[in-house]
Amino acid sequence: MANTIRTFFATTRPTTLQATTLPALRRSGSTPASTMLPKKAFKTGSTAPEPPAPGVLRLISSRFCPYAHRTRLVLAAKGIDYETVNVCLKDRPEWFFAINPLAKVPTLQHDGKVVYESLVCNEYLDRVFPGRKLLPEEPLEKARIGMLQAIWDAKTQPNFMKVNMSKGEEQLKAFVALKEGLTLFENHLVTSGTPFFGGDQPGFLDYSIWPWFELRDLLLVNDVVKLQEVEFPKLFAWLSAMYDRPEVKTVAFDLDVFAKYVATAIAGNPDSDIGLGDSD
Amino acid sequence: MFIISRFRVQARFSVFCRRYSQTFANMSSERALKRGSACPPPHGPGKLRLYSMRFCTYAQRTRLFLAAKGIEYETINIHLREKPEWFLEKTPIGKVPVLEKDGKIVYESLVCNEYLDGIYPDKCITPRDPLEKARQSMVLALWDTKVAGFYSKLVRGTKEDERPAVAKQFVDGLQYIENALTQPFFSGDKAGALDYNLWPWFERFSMLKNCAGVEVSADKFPKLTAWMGRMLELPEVKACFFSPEVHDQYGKTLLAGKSDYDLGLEE
Repeated sequence: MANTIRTFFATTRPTTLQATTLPALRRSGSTPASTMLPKKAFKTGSTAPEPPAPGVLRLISSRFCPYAHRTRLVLAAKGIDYETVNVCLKDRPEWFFAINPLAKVPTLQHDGKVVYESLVCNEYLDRVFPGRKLLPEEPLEKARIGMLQAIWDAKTQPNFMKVNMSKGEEQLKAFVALKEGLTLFENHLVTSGTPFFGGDQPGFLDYSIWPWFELRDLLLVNDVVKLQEVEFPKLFAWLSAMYDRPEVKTVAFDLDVFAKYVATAIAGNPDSDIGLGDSD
Repeated sequence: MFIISRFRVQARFSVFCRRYSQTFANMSSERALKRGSACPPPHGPGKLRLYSMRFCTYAQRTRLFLAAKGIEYETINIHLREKPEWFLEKTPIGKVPVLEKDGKIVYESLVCNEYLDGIYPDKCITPRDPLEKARQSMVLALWDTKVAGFYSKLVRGTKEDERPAVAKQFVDGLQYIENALTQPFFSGDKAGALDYNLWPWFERFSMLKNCAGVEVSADKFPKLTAWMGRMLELPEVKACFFSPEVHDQYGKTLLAGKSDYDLGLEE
C-alpha cells in the first residue's frame, strides 16, 4: 500500500516539451518508433520499446511518482527536449530491470548511457546540458543544499507521508515532526532573504521538494493537519512564487486525476492509466 | 610443567596486548563527550574539526577522505546514546560525521566528503566527470537498497529462524556490488570516492561471521575479495583501520544495547 500511495502523481496533459520533440524527429526524415510512444504505462509482460534514437533523451517515468516529477521539473527548467516512457510501478515490465536493476523511476536513457535515482538524474542533467545552472558551485552553498536535502529525506518527506497515512494521535505526532522539519526550511529562507532556495530563481532544492508541496492538499487531508501561513510566512511566499513559474505550470499535476488515482490505489488496484483516453 | 605453561600463557598474553595496543596507536584517544559536558572551545581560525565516533561507519567515510587528502584536523568524539546538548545545537540531525571550520558546520558523510574536495581542491577525490560521478552515486544507491539494510539486520541481531532469509538477501544483493567492480578499484586504477564511501562496511565483514555466521567467500566474490586486499594496503585505509577483533568486540557491546564508544582507550 505504501508503495502505491508513494507513487501518486499524475499529469494528463502532454507536456509542451513532448509536443516540440515530435516535429524535430519528423524533420529528420525518419519516423522512429519513439515518436509512437504511448502515454499508457508499460506493464509486466510487455515488449520493450525500441531504445531511444541517437541524441534523443528518454525519461522512463510514472505519471504518479513525486520522484519522477523532480526530474520533469528540472527538464522543464532547463528547456531540455525529451521523450517519455511510462511504466507501471505495481506490475513492472521485466525489460525495465535490465536497464535499471532497481527498476525505479525516474531513469534516463541517453546515447546508451543510463542514469537513475532522481537526484543523481537531476545533477547529471544540470552538469551535462546547457542552460541555467541549478546547483551552486561554491562548496559551502552546495553543502547547504545537500544538508537541507538530507533533512528533507530524513525528517520532512517521511512525515508528509506519515501524516497522510495515519490517524488520531499518531497523525498529530507526525504533523508536529513535519512542522519541525519545515521550520528548518523556513529559517533558511529567512536567513537567505531570497524568494527561492536557489536564490532569485528556483534551483536544485526547490525542484526536489516541490512535488510534495504541490500535492499537500491531497497529503494533508484533515483540517487539523493543514499548514498555516502565519507559522510559515516565507514558505507560503515561496509556494506562491513557485506556482508562478512556467516550468512548474508546464509539468503540473492534474489534482483531480491524481485524487482518482489515489482512490484506485486505496481500493487495492492502482490504475496508472487513469484519466488517459483510449488512443493514449 | 606448570611453571613452563604459565610462562607460555604470559608470553601469548603480552603478544596479544602489543597487537591490541598497536591497533589503537594511530587513533585519536579522546573519550566520547556526553550530555552535560562542556562545549569544546572552537578550533583556531582556518583549522578543521571533525565531530565523530570511533566506530561509526559513516564517520569513517569522512576520515578516509581526510587521510587520503592529507588534511590536518582535530577530532572530537561524541557519545551517540547521550548526545551533548551543544552538539544538537550545531546539527539538527544529531549524527556524525560533522565538519566545523571557522564557525561553519557541514554534516552528512557524502556532503562532508564533497565539501572537503571543494575547500581543499588538491588531490580531488570526487569524480569530475558528470557521468562517472553519476555512476558512483548509482552504485551507492544499489548498496543502500540491495545490501545495507540486510547487513544492518545481520549485525544488529536477527531471530534465528529469520536469519537464513536475511543472509540470502544480503548475499544476493552483494552480487550487484561484485558486478559493479570492473577495475582494480571501484573508481578505476586508484581508489576514489566510491571506494572510500563503501570501505567501512567491508572492514567490518568479520562481524557478519560472528553475529550471523555469514561469510563472504573468495569463490563467490573473487573481485570484492581482491579489492579488499588492495584497500588494506593503502596508507589512508590503514590510518583509519580497526582490526576484526576490535570490531567484533565493539559489535558485542552494540548487540547488548550498550555500545562502548571508548573501547580500547586507556582509563
